[in-house]
Amino acid sequence: MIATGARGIDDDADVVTVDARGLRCPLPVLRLAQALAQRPEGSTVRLLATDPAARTDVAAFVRMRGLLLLDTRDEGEHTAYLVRGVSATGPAAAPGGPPAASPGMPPAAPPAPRATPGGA
Amino acid sequence: MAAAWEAGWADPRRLHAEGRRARRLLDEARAVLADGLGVGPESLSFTPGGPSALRTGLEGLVYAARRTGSRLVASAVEHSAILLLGRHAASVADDPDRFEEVPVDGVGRVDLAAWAQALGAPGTAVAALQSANGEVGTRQPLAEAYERCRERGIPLLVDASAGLGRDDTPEAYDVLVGDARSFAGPAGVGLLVVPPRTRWRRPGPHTEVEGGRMDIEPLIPLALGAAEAWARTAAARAEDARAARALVETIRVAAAAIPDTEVVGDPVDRLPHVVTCSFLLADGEALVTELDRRGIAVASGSACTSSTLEPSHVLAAMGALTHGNIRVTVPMESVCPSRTEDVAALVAALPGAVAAVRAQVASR
Repeated sequence: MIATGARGIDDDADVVTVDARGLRCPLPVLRLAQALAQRPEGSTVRLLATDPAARTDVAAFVRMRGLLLLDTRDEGEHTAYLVRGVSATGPAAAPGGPPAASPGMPPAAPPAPRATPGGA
Repeated sequence: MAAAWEAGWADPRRLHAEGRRARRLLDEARAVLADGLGVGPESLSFTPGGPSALRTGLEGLVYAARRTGSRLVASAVEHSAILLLGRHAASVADDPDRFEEVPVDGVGRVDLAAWAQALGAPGTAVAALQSANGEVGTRQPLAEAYERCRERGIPLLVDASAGLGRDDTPEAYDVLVGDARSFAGPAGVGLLVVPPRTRWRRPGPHTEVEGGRMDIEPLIPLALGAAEAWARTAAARAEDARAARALVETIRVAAAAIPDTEVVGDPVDRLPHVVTCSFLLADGEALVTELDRRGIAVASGSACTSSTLEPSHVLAAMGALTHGNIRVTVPMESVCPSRTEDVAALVAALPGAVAAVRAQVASR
């Protein structure tokens, strides 16, 4: 279920898929949060959910945590959400945003080595 | 209320002494409420509840405007009685343009530019807007929205059922709707105000009931109870609202201090007594239960607590989190003398309750 590899975030092989189909709120967002927490910053997670509330909640979660919602796509019975676990209001994305905690950090986090967590 | 049942049981249309007494009591109840709302008593009709007043009020405007068109415009955060009526009309006509839901911003306030644009679409006959939202408390820009309606000669129904008696009574409307529950009156009393200047006509056969606007006689004891509630709370209204506003502010501050929390709705331009908070990765139903276990009664707008799977249409329209919500309605002090202590207890219990529920959720 979890693919690994030292490649860029746009590479499909680097995207973790979390299957939350059939789960009701707040579990889809919880599974997404857990997957992101287990991965290095900058990872991308693909969440599959059937709960209609997830459409609003994933977007709200992304906004509250300062993440990026790259894509929302209807795939028949479920919806797929592509979320990137990196700050959308970081120094690179929004110069007027809150000051960065460590000003010496590079603007975008490069893909870090895999931690290879167990299956969610 | 017991006294009201004792006094108002008779049929007010009969000429016997009990009937005349019941008629006089109904007239008095109507006079108290009409006076409170700043309208003539002939403009005020009693309905069997707020949603029923919304439906009746809207149907009369639509019917009277049927030669202008049949299109209805409403904000996306209106009461479901309005939204369901509009969606039903569009569905039956197989014409999605028959009803337009105007979007709101992140605090739940209607987008005035989109509102004006929606009113400008051909065939627009009637518009509906709440004075404030009962879930998140945000007040709507009624004066501006009404002005846009007037420019186009479109009648506006204003739904004041969330805050009548707690906040200023709206003045900019063609039809006004309220619910006695908002000012601590009994359930089952809707207030429908149709001033003489408004073009309004009930579809269907002529009736003599409630100024020709209803076909159901009001329950006189309930109408008396509503008038009694209004009169009892009128004197303390401004001071009560000021204190309720401060209590809600303490809840907002306490909730915002909890990590991953959003306090939704406008922080300032809002009803004095309502607030909704969203706690990320918490379960709304579990939170309501956890607070109840600690002796505090709140409501939830989360999808998990409703019978349908659909999330709150208000929170969804705002783009707010639809899980992990609690809605707090601060009652009037006259019906809940311990409200200050109750809010203090809620504020004290909230961080622990949220942490407990988040721990439960995380273990699933």
